[in-house]
Amino acid sequence: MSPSPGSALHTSGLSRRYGRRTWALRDCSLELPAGRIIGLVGVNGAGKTTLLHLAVGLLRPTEGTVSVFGRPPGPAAAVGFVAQDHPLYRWFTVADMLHFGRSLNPTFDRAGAEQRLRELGIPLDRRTGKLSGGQQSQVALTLALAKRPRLLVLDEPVATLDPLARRAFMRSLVDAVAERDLTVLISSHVVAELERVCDHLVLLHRGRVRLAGDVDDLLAEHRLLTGPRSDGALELEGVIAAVHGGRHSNVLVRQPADALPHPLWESRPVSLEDLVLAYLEHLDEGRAA
Amino acid sequence: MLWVTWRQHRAELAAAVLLIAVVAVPIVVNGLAMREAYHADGVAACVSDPARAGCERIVERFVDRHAEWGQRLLWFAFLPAVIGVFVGAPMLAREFEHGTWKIAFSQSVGRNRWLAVKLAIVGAGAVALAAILGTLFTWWRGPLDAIGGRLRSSAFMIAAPSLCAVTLCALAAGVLAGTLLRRTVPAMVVTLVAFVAVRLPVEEYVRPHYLTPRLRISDAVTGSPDVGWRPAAEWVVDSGWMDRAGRRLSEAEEWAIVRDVYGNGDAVYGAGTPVERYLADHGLRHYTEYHPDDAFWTFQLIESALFLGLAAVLLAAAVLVVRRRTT
Repeated sequence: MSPSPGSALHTSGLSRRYGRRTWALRDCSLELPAGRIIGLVGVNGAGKTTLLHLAVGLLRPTEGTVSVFGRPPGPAAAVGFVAQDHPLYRWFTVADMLHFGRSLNPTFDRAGAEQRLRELGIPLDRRTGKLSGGQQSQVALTLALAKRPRLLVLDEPVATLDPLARRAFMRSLVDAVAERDLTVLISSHVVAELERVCDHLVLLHRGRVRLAGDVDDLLAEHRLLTGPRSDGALELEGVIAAVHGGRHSNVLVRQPADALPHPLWESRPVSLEDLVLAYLEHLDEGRAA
Repeated sequence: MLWVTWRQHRAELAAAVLLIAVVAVPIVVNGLAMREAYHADGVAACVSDPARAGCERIVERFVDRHAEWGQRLLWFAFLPAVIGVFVGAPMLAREFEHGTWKIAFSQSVGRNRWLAVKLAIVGAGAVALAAILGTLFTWWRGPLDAIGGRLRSSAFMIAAPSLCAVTLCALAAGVLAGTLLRRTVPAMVVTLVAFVAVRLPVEEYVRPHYLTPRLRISDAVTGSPDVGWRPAAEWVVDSGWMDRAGRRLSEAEEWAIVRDVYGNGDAVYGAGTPVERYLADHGLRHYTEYHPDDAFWTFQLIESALFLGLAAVLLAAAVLVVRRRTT
């Protein structure tokens, strides 16, 4: 499988092992379309950071291949990266961080970065260690954007932020993306944060890709059915997860978008968060069984 | 990359410049005064013509007066440890500890160039500091070394070539410890321990054997005490007594003789003392193993090569560990 022209990130059989036998990522084949905001979800330890580090060239695959716009990841690839906990040099001022970015990147847009920080009200002469978590994440995002990347990779950018800062960060991310030709790959274990911004979704569980596709397609294909309690064999196709209450059963099914509604079951559309949670619960049950 | 290295290490650079300034001024002032005394007090004349009258006392007084400063300078044998602990160990440990390696290695500059530039510039700075201080110290010691030789620890350890090589080695050890442990404080401790564990044994047990020492055998002196003074520029690494067959006496045997001669009283040594008579009566002679002062540069070369080689191995290991950790 070779990357198609419209793909931003392409992986084939991508695997990464730590030590002798711990596989953080196993046989991951993905084709992520360009120009989209792609959410990468999964519980902690699912392999999200490993996949992102492989995509930006901080790690090398144990097996398989990864390419960004058809080229191997690495310093030359046009990738901006905001690492987990948005690390910055604590003793550097914000201006120093911009200088850092400029001296390490030929395409660095310093004027644009300064303007962005000014609009966010982040003082350039303050040490980054003295900034709030939200401001630090904005500085890290500004640095990554100023590199003028074609692919922006963000690893849990809002995990350590309070709800207001989370919302502000996501809004500014969407604004930034709207202004340029940019593909975004963003990981989070907080699905609610991604729901508003993502149009493509990848679900990782225990190092494997369990679900991948356009959010619209996924939502059209999945339905939440409610009907009389029936904990026996369900005569339904494409059951992903079932929850049985006292009198009713709730079932998540994956069916073609144009499948006919079942007469006995009341069908409701499902939210992205419900969808992801149902998959995660189901996958964990599958393991326990 | 140049700017990044400068920004990350400018505090260290400022400290180095300050250190040079603080050390240089008193050293130069004192060194000039010592040179003046060296000539004015007749020490220079004694060194060129040791047979002159009263030289023993003149030289002894001169050396005594400056011994304290010489001891102080010997503290700078720990300069490499300071560089290794405070510059080498944190250099990469801090990047791993704070996660900043993830920004550093996701920019357009590859990690090889990033590492190469950083190590080259910081290494060059450390070597420059060691070279300046070492040259200064050796200049200061000039008159003392003319009397006592340059191979003794107090002169040898702070001479520029070996001080530079040992500094580079300690820096490399710090960098490696930092990449392996990825935490600053443990890396600093390990660097210090490793430095002491290598530096002291080399000084004590390895350095005397860089070249085969020369051997001098002399008869016991039973006549009147020797008058006059001789420069002792050679570096004595072993001395003792040997019998007619050339067998060297063990320490225990030597002590037995001393007890035999002096009983429980105070032992005195030197020409014309009772122990010399004992040696002569029993067919024993003095032997001395020494390195001549003109072996100084050969010794510096060997020691520098030793530590530079070790530094190269440690740095290569550090680069390999970084590449493995981050790929």
